[in-house]
Amino acid sequence: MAKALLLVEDDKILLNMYQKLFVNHGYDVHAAMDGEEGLRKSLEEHPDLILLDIRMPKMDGMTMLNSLRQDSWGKDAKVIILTNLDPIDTILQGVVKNQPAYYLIKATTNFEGVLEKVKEILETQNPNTNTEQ
Amino acid sequence: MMQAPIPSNEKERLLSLHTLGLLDTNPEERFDRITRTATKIFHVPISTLTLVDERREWFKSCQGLPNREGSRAISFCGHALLANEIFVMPDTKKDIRFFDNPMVVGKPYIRFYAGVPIMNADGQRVGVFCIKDIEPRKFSKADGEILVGLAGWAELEVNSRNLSLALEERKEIEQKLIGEKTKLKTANKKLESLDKLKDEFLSIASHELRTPLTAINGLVSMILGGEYGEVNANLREPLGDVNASSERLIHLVNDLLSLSRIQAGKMMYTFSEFSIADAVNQAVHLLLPLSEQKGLRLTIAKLEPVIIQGDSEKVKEVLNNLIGNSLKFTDKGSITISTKSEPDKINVYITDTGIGITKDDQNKLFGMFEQLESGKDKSASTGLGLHISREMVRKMGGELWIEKSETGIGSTFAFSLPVAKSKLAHEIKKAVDLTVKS
Repeated sequence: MAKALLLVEDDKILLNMYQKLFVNHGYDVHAAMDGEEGLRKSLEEHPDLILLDIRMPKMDGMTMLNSLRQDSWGKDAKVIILTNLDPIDTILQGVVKNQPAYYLIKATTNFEGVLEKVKEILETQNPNTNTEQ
Repeated sequence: MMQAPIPSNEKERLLSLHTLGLLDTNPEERFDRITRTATKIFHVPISTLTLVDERREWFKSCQGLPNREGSRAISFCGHALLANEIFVMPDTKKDIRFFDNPMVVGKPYIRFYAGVPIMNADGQRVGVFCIKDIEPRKFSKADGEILVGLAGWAELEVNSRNLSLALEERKEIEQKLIGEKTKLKTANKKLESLDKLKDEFLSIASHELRTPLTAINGLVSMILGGEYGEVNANLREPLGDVNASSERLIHLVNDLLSLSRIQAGKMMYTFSEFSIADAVNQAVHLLLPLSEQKGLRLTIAKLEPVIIQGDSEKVKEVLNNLIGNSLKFTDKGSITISTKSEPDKINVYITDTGIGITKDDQNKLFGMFEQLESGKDKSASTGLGLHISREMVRKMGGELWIEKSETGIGSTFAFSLPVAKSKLAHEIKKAVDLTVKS
């Protein structure tokens, strides 16, 4: 079965672009345009991977990630932070270190790079999933 | 009668007197108690603390006289003002200067006078402390000493007003300083918040600029990559140009961000120990497609696996920048990377067979936004790369320089980085150095 991705991205053009890319490569793509919607859909749909923007209306990506980590399913959910904010900028300081998530800068990662990362992360087994099996 | 003489420094004296701020003020107990004491000790009817003004003698304190002032010209105090220490007149009728003085022949019929000059803190004679009697008197040396003592007391009181004024002034200045300090603190806080605002602005601006650039770059790449179906052959070149331009813009935004961070001292470094060989291999791997595209040989001549201390991402950025420059300014031939192990550090050399840099241009090379004559026809860069790279290398304890460059032949850029401090790093370094020698 196709792996389900949830794209959380407020920029319509970028959302369409990534959607097209992942659909082309055989993923089941779902979308949310702000952190609130992203959190709701994450908890309802339990996607295999969440691609998360940071600066968004209603709820920013870091707040959404923090809420997600409070959830019993969400604490181990696979997340790629896909943003244009530099990790060394104030908002993200410490986050990259403390949050078990991957980090990509949109502007400097080409589409092949994003695809590669998604594939790589989906193939790695979640250690917690292993113990459950 | 002889009028009271005018001192030679009268102008300064008057100025000093007036700065005291005592003239024409109300009587004060602190002075009155001294004149009262004097009348009791000496059993005289009159004692005054006199301030000698331009035309009058004015009594700050006065016992036994109905008026608070009199004419300076006929005053005894006018004479006493200039005395060495004390001015004594045992019998006024027997002195040529006073026998016909209106205050001797008329009220209050003064027959005896003794006065001691009073000085201001600046040394000017401003007044006299005196006793007067209506009978002639003998005035012993001991009496003189007592009077001088009382005058000293009066002088202290006169100056205490001065002191308290000075204290008040000081307090005022202190208050002002406190006010200034508060203002400075407020200004400083404002600056700090402005600085924070600037940082936030930069962070957000970078995000906002990068978002549309990501879309342009990503979409065109995907079109070129066939994600939107087959691409018409004659569109490939212009689309490639769009992509190259958007990439340049992305680099520019990144460079400007780096620069502003460097200038604000906010560039963050995550130091670790890593092999310089790994960093070089990764950088070369990343740029191989570009060199192949240009038909250039990108090779590693000699690579010593020395463990260095630095921020591996920053080192890769520096390598990327230097090799990228070489690729940009070389049309045929090769780019070669090599290392050279030195005591406590390793040097990395990037040598190309490019256009080279004139001596003049070499001096401008590390400035910001410098476009060199030699590279004029090349696609424009920001000119920030070398400046940023050198700043980063320096922050990691190394140096970046032009090893050599000749127009038409090529350039060699070099940078050094310190060997890591750990024991393992030093052992590896030793082994590397031995291999090099043998």
